[in-house]
Amino acid sequence: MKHILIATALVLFVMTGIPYEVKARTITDMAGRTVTVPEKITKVYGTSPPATNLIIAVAPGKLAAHNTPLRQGEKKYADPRILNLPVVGGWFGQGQTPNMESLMTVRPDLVLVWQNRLSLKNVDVEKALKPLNAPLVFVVMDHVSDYPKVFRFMGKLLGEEQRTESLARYAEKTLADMKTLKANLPENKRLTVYYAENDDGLSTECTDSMHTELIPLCAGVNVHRCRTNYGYGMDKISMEQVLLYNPQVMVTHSLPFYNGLFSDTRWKSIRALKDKRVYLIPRDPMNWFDRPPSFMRLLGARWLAHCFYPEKYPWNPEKETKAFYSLFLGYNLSDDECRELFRP
Amino acid sequence: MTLITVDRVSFSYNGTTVLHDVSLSVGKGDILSVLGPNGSGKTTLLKLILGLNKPLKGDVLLERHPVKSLQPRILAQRIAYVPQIHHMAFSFRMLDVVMMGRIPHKPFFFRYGKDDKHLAESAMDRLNILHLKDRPYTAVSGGERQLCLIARALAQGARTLVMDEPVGGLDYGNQIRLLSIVRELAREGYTFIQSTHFPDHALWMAGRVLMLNKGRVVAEGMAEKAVTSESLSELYRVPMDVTQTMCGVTVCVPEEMRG
Amino acid sequence: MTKPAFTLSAVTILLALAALGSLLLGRYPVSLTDVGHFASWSFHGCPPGNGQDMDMLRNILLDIRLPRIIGAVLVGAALSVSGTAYQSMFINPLVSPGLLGVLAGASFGAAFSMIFFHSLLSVKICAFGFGCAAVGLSMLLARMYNGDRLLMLILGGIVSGAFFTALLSVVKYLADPYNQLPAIVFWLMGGLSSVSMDTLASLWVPVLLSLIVLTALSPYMNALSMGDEEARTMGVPVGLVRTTIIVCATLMSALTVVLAGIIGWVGLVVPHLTRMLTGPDNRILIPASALTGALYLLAMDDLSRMLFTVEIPLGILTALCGIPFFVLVLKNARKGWS
Repeated sequence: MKHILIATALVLFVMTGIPYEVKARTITDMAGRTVTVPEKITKVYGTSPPATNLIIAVAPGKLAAHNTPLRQGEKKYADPRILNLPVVGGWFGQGQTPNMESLMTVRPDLVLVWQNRLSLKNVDVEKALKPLNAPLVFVVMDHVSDYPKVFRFMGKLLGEEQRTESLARYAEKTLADMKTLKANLPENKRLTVYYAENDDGLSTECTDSMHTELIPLCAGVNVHRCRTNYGYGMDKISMEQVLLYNPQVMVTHSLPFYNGLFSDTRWKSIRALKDKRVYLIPRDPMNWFDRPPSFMRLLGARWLAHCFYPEKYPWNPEKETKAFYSLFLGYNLSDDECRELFRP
Repeated sequence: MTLITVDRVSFSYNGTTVLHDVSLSVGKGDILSVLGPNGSGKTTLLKLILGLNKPLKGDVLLERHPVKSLQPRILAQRIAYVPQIHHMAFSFRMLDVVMMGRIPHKPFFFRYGKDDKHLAESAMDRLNILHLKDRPYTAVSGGERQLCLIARALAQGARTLVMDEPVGGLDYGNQIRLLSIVRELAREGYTFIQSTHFPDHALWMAGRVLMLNKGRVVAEGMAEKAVTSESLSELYRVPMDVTQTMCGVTVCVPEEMRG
Repeated sequence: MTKPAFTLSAVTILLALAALGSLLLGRYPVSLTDVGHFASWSFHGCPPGNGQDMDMLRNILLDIRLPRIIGAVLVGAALSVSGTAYQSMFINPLVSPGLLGVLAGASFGAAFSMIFFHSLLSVKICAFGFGCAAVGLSMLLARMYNGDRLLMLILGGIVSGAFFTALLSVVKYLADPYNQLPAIVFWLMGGLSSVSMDTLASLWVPVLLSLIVLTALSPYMNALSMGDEEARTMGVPVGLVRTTIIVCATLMSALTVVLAGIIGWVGLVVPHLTRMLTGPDNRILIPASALTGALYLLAMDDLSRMLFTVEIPLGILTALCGIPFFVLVLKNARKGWS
């Protein structure tokens, strides 16, 4: 009887010309919207690099396309399944938009949008993606502390609960470690930190910027006390202002800056330089600290906390890094590769 | 004595021949007026003499030396150019404009000296415009500008002045004043080659005339011989009458005006 | 004392005062007494306070402020003099040093180096190299066609500038949007914050030499602004002089890019301002615009580092101040040129 019913239904479908309907389910995304998504999701497109990176962490096999070509450093650690995906662009940087036709060719069955309090253009994304006829799912990850929730949400969405549970646990461990570290450090014992951006080291971010989230998380105090008034950041700052801040520690992502720093007479009076406490952020496959803000920060936080307070936060760089790369990127680092990551 | 010889010169510009086989010679103290309708090649001929255009065929000689092989500063010491009054982007002082005439007498890197200033001032004085030396060039009248350019040519020390329509844009009084200065200077031994649209002026200067039509020399000779009713009528394609007035002055009158 | 001599000495004195004043200005509080102490310490070797303070003072005065002041003076002078020289040579008061594409080329060079090589030295070399290459290209293009040499040069400059601007867009498109693109954007806004004594030590000689050569050629610039042919009949070796002017102006502009990135409007506004002070005679105008340009950029840079805790990029400031100023200057400029 049951078989007959199914057979009849199938016949009816074919006869009425209704296309094969995938089974769907209804979910509530992280922005609180109710979305109908396919039961089985195989191709997900992220509208910006943070969203795309999230997909890569959770289910690399389900990524539909890239926003930008993979950099050399990214290629090395990339899952073979994402190496040859098409590049269709996305909404990021200074007003870039994806190539709609390439995106239509890719035909993702789900679009993942990073909802950021600063990106007011989400509505536009929704409108622009209408012809794609794929459901839009919003994720919220403004803070590192959002990661456990984001991972679990993604796991449920993509049917990867087992994997995301371990990712979420990792994130929770990082967050808990940092909380303990902070609890043991009274405000006045915390290090003052200057985040040097750009090749001249004279751009930085305000205290409340999402770009410097790791500094307070790792019990540091960002010296550039201000409120961001726009999302892009990279405030220019004068050498004398840095001298006035006189930070105890400096963190930078710029290799040319780091290389020239110790021979530059202008910087020599700064405490961080005198104490030789300038740290170059590891940047493969993605920056561990910022730009792009990614899950790499979960490892970055542990690294940075150890840089800041080696006694209070003992850490085995090789072991931990290898574990993280294997868990998040599915890549087994050799000893040499691991050392290479930390080498300026 | 022949100073400048133009020897069977042809010149073309972007494939169009502008001058055909033009020859002329100018002696010291001559005033040569080049007459011809618009586009007949007058300015081109002047530029050939100034070494600004290189002849396609033939040669321009300054005392037997081809002009094209002379260094600009050597040439500038001998031949000066008095351009048509032009619009100038910057309002230099009159004295500064005249001082530029001293450049050919200076080494490559130089500053003007006291003697340069003195020479420039005396050239201005010679033309009675010394009182204008601190005025901006852009703020004086057309006639004064033309005098300023002549003063520059004098300061340049050249004895030959090539003038492109020197009276163009001047009022009647200034035209006559300018012509008499030219005559005076010619008497002192200066040589003039000028293009002009006024055959009367050529007659009045009592110099020589070269008539150009479509890049060819159609008449040449002393003004009173070459400027005739026939040659003018042919040159400008307007019936002209060249007659003597009762006081012996030759004038050109359009036939239509005679009624 | 003649009027131009008076103007020149007045501006020189002002510039000297401004340079000394700038030594006292900055986010880090340094008083005149501190500077006095520091001077006596440097000359006599007896620190009035403790030695630590003197080290800090030396760091601020000699390592941070002095290079910036010298940088502002060099860049301001170089840009204004190349602007003045170009304006005279092209007989056009609306011309700026970027006319032949040097700034477009240098921008591309710097951006190119930022994404393909990763050293500060390569950025400088590429900015300089491509700045010169862009001017070379416009001169080459100008030679390809017959006709008015000046007009052809300007057209060549437009083509070359547009070409390198397009290449810059390509590089910007290729740049990674997290670090490289913002680095390029900020670099293009210009600024003196990364000027160091080392850079200055290698650049001041060519800048000063070009300044001297252009000053020496200033009588020819007067003649050139009567037009090429007229200048030639006055014995000016036009081709040689023009090439020398272009080479010197290009060299200087490209070096300003190496020092401070793209600083716009100085090369356009300052020549006008100076011309209003001294008149159009290049013999006075060229040295005077070097001095006023230096003074102007020094003041702008002081503003840029003093106004907020955050530094305003110098290029933005010169544009913001330059444009309204330019409107005013144009309104009153009938006196200097018409």
